[in-house]
Amino acid sequence: MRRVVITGTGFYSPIGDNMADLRTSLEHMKSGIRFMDEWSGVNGLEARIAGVVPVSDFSEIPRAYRRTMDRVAMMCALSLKRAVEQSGLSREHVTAHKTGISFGSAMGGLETLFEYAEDVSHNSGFGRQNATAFLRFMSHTVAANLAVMFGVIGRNIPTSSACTASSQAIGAGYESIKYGMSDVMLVGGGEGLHYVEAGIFDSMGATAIGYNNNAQAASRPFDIGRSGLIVSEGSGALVLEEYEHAKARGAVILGEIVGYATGCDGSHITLPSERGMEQVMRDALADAKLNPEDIGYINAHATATPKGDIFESIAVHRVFGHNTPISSIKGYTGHMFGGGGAFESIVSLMALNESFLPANKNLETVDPACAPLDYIRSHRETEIKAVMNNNFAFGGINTSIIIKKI
Amino acid sequence: MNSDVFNKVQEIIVEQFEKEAHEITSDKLLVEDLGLDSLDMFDLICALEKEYGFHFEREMGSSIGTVGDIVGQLERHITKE
Repeated sequence: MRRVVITGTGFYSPIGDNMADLRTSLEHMKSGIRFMDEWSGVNGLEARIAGVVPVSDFSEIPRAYRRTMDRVAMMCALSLKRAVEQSGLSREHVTAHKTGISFGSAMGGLETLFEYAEDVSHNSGFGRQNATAFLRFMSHTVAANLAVMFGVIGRNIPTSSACTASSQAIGAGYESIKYGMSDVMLVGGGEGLHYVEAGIFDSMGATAIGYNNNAQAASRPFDIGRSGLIVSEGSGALVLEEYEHAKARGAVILGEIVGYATGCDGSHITLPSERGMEQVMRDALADAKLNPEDIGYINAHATATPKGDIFESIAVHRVFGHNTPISSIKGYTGHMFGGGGAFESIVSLMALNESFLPANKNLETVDPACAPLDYIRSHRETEIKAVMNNNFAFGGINTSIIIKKI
Repeated sequence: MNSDVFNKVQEIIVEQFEKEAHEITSDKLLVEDLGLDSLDMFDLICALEKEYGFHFEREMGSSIGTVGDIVGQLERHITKE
């Protein structure tokens, strides 16, 4: 069976856009969530805080590509550029027939979509609309734009399953290589921040309320005082490569994806199911041919919603018992939606390679309704051999990725 | 050629397509010399329509080859008004 390794990563997040800054933020328990002065004119929002990537200059991307990119595609493009640079892949490799791409986001280019809809509705109709607007907001804008920018001619698998968009992209890339359709897959995803995301989750009662004046304490996975998620933005990109292909060109291998599974609950559109979560973790372990005790760290999805964290903890307990260290990094970043799966896989890779297990930020008292697990309270320096990264999305869509040291 | 109209067209092309002002002369072909493609042409016309408040017919767009052609079209529109 063909093996799948990771040879490059790149990301933007509210807590850093490079490994050193990311590690520092996690070590010092520093959150990238802040009060949004920019949303002061928006009526009816309960949660006025968000995780923000402090970057606005994307002029590094040539205009010919940037003209059809919203913020989400630009963050993904530069993340992928860094990942490709780290991998050492040549232009010839990237544009080879068996190099493909899989990228996703929850919303596409939301900023452009809102400007466009408002202008069409209230001002000029369709008479004076830019030709590039749709290309910036369409649901597969990231995968389409990145393929053009990098000259990819192999498989292109756009994903758009909200919180599992980029973890499904990783899975699509993994399976493409494993089953021989590709030698290299450029994978990941992202999300650009917009107040409508905060409004959408407010309307569902899913955002954290009561923390507008205390942003650092707002996102509290597994804590008894949690009241919901915090919206945020960011991106993650990984270069996946067939093991022999990477070895033949002398690439530095960062880790091996040994297991992946995706499944769905088939029950409720928003309410998660511990049965579906449990199944996807068991399926990933079976794919990896590993036992639960082989996993040294679980990077949880845990968004700090009242029910989601409970169901997730119960599912983890059923599969692993109570001894496997677990943390969610959404206490630092908020919920990056389409960027979360890829970024959290990169954090999982860091845990593996730096023997650094990040703590659950803001976890003071574990909710007694959550199952008894080894919740990490302060970061640990522990050598591990394999990590599991879980993500769960609306529609009951679940993913589990297992990465191993090589 | 109306220098005010030319200056405005030059300004829009410089800003929208990240060109240098000295590159924009009336004899320059928009596609071959300045590197605009079909999407850029639509966006240029859109910007000019917003600036001058009139509607370019599609067939007018196809007759535009150079920067000078655009300025000419705009001058004819301004004269009609």
